[in-house]
Amino acid sequence: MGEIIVVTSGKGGVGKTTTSASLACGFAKRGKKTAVVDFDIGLRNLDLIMGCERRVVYDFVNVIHGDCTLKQALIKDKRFDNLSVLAASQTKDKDALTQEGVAKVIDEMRNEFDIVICDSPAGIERGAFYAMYFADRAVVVVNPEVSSVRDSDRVLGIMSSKSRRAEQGQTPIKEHLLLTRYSPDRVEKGDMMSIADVEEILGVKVIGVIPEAPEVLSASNSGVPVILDEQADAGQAYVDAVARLLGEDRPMRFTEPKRKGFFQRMFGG
Amino acid sequence: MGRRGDLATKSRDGAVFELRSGQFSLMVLAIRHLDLLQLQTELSDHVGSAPALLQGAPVVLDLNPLSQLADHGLLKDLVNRVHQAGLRVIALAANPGVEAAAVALGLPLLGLDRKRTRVIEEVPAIEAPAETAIEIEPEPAAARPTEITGLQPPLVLPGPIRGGQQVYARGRDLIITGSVSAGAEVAADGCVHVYGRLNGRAMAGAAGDLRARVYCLSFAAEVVSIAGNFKVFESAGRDIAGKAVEIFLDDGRLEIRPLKI
Repeated sequence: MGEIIVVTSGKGGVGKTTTSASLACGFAKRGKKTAVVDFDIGLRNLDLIMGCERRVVYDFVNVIHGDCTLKQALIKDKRFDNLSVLAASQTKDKDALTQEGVAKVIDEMRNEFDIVICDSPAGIERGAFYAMYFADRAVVVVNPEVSSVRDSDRVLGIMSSKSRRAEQGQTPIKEHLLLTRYSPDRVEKGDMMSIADVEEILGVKVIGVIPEAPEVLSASNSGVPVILDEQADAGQAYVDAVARLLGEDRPMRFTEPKRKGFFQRMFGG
Repeated sequence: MGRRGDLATKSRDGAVFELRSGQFSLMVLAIRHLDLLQLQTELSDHVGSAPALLQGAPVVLDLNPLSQLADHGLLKDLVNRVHQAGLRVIALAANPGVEAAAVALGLPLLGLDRKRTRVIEEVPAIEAPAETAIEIEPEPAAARPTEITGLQPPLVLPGPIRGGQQVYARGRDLIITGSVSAGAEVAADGCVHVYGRLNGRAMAGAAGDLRARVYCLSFAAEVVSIAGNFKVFESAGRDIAGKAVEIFLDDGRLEIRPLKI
């Protein structure tokens, strides 16, 4: 039986889709049979970040409506043959999702894959609700700023009271925080919330810290998830996060301001 | 599989009714002495001083401060006099002794429902069942002091209570063994204890008990209310922010005192 992991946040623009794409590639690279599902019906994006937008024939809503089989709708990644993408519909809206329909697709995927990543839309409406409803684990993506932290708190509350695990009285969804767009320099100056601040407010441990870096944007634009950029700090930070999600112990990196060299310290710059 | 909230309303489109929980803030009229004539005079004056606000206003009649129970006739007289003074009694808050009299008057009795504790947005509750609490004491029932027979076990919930969640412990104390996030609401008819950071809103004595108190280990609350007397903390003073505090009513004024631990 595969594991369902929801990537969610409440707030928009914090890096959910970037994270979903990178975690999916990371798990696939570690040999896990992985699928990643776009729950943002009507605002399809994951296929772009994964670089398979020209190959979308059938989508999630088609599978729910029985227009095609799950197998026909899954798009195989060109880089990893154990990685598949299920795109969202661009023409439908979120009302196309029904509990029975989503349950059927998720259960089928659970049998087929080791890990299924559900990329949640922003907000707490239908799409976001179904993305988290069936989850076993949650990666809550949060930026180190107050509005993102508050929205994450709300989402954690909904997961703990309204998910299938909560309704059926099973062990709760396992919660992880992933801090993105982190800038150690700004934290040191006191402009940005620190890892400890966010952990304290939300009462959940951070599983990874992704530094704010220009490579993240260029990776998204070129359809190559940033985790595959081995030179980039952000890519390496995602590799570490995947390892921790697989139960490995890795020290946090890129969370301290970069030390300046001798000459820079002497002459500024 | 249960659907709820916004998802459930969809399927009920076209239905004749919608049943949902609502919260209203009500005035509570607490009766301290059973001097009916004086009550009517004072109450009439009071209503007359602010008729726009008070004339015809619904109130909950709180009989808890009375040491002696009102019998049927006395209760009926009391309610009539309150009506004549210009207020409308819509419910009673009292101990179980007046239940029969309340039923005869057609008034619901609040703060009495001992079996059911309502959690509005369901938080997985770890509740001490009433039966167990009683079984722990091996003494025969007759030997127990009478006050204890009405004792309700508190509603104990693990934290954190997240933003947007509401918890209400009806007719009992509420204990949160963790923090209360900003935007969360915790309420109880008894006292509210938060063994963590209190960031959201806390309401003690929700049915009008003036003796209820709020305790927390680290104070950062947005709003605190005791028996309807509330205070908004746009920013907590330095003497109490982040401190363990006790909040109580002192002659109708909300007092906050740091706890020396």
